[in-house]
Amino acid sequence: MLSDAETIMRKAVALARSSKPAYHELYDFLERVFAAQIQVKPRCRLSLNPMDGEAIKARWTAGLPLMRRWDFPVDLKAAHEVLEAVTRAVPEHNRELSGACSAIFKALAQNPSAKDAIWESFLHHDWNPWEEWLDTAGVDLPSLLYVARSCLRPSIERTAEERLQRACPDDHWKAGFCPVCGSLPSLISLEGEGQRRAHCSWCGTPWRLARFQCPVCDNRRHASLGYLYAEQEPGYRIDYCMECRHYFKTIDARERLWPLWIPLEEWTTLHLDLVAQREGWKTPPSPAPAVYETDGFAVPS
Amino acid sequence: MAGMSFFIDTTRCTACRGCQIACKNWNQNGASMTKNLGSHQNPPDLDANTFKLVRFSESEVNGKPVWYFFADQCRHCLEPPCMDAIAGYVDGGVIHDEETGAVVYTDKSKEAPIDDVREACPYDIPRAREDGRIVKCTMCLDRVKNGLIPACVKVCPTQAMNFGTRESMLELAQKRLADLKAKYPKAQLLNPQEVRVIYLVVDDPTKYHSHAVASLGSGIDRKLALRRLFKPAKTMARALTLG
Repeated sequence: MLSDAETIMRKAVALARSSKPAYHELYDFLERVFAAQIQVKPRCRLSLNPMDGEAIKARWTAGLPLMRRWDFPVDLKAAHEVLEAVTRAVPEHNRELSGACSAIFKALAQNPSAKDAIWESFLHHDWNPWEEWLDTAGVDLPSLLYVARSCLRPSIERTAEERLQRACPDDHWKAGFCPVCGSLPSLISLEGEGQRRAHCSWCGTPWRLARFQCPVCDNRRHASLGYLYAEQEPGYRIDYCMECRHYFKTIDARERLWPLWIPLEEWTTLHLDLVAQREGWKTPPSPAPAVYETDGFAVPS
Repeated sequence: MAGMSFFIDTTRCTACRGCQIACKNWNQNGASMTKNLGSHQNPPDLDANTFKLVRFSESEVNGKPVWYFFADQCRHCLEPPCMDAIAGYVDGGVIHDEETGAVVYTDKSKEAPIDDVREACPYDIPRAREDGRIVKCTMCLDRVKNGLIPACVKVCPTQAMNFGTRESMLELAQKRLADLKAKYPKAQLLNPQEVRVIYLVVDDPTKYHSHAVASLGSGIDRKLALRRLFKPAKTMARALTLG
């Protein structure tokens, strides 16, 4: 029997197949990757430093996220299981993805004592510590990052969910970056009676945003916030900020018959990125190092 | 019988007519010729440009005037009599969508006489365009197939209009009925086992609209029953002629 999450995911993929045929090459691959992530997630065994509700709220009140991205624990077995599933799912003709999978497999096989370090190296950003173990010659870097982070995603999401079992950010968190890991949203949704909710690009945590709020520069002046909208595609829009010139994709979930599957929407809204970037809007680096610097965290250089 | 269903809670309806306008907007239906009949109901009836109409009925309860509002539309019957009526004249005039249960007329429906089709409908819903094409609510099948809720449900500000899987709508309807029963002993769901548009009313349904519940005089009449009975023979004769 399928879990609730898997039922929602499969319904979302089936719907996307019929309503967004332009992305047809992605669906078989993504469905298998998502299914593996969903099945692996409940089995993740993670050693997480305990943090009680009061400590969590204290950090949020100070405007600080709970963890740095590179402090997330990783379940090696879970990551390896997803890697195997991703490898099986890669379409035959996709050399970039198959090359990325092979490179990780090879590094793990050649450095059995450094498995932790290899996986954990992909928790970092802006620098490439995996190059110590991985032969990246001829390997497509975006594909490598995608495969590695797909493997880590169950551990990361599970960690964030465990943290949020002790406190809910809704009443304590007003910032545009993730209350758990400090990353910026990959997508924003409009729900219920118009509440705006951001979805973390790193750990999947949802949190509330103000209706007028740029997640990057916290601009809340309506006159300098706008959005692009196409009548042919109801339910989607591109929110932009004229102050920092960044944009975010927004989905109006109030129009949806079925629940959203955010990891799928990240892919099936790529055409919105093209539209936004053609109009001169840009994507921000995530997370902004300033998020960690304010906490006295050591930011890798 | 799975598929989708509407649940229309008339106790939540404020007669804002947002659903009526959203329906017109999505289906790109123009304005209708109208006239003042001394009621806020406008236009006075369903027509080829109005697939959904909020009916206004003034009544009296315990000496006090009350308004009953009824967002009238095709019920998407589980066994649609209109389908038989049209099929008696033309094949492919109606699509009964398997996945959702929506009953949708095609251009071929113009080959069936509107009077017969309208007579077959227990709720007096179908109307004909000038070119003869028969029209009505489509359950916004184009939206639903793309994962969107129907236009009328999208705009409803009070949650009078609801849409979802049949199971979830029946559950919601039963729950709401149970909540209201104590205050309104006459509260009832209208033909919930026969239709996909389930209304909740709190008084005699005829006070809302003459065709709120399936009318006894409509449905499969003798003429239709005979046409249905002889249809296989007609089809066979046509096939032999073609052969």
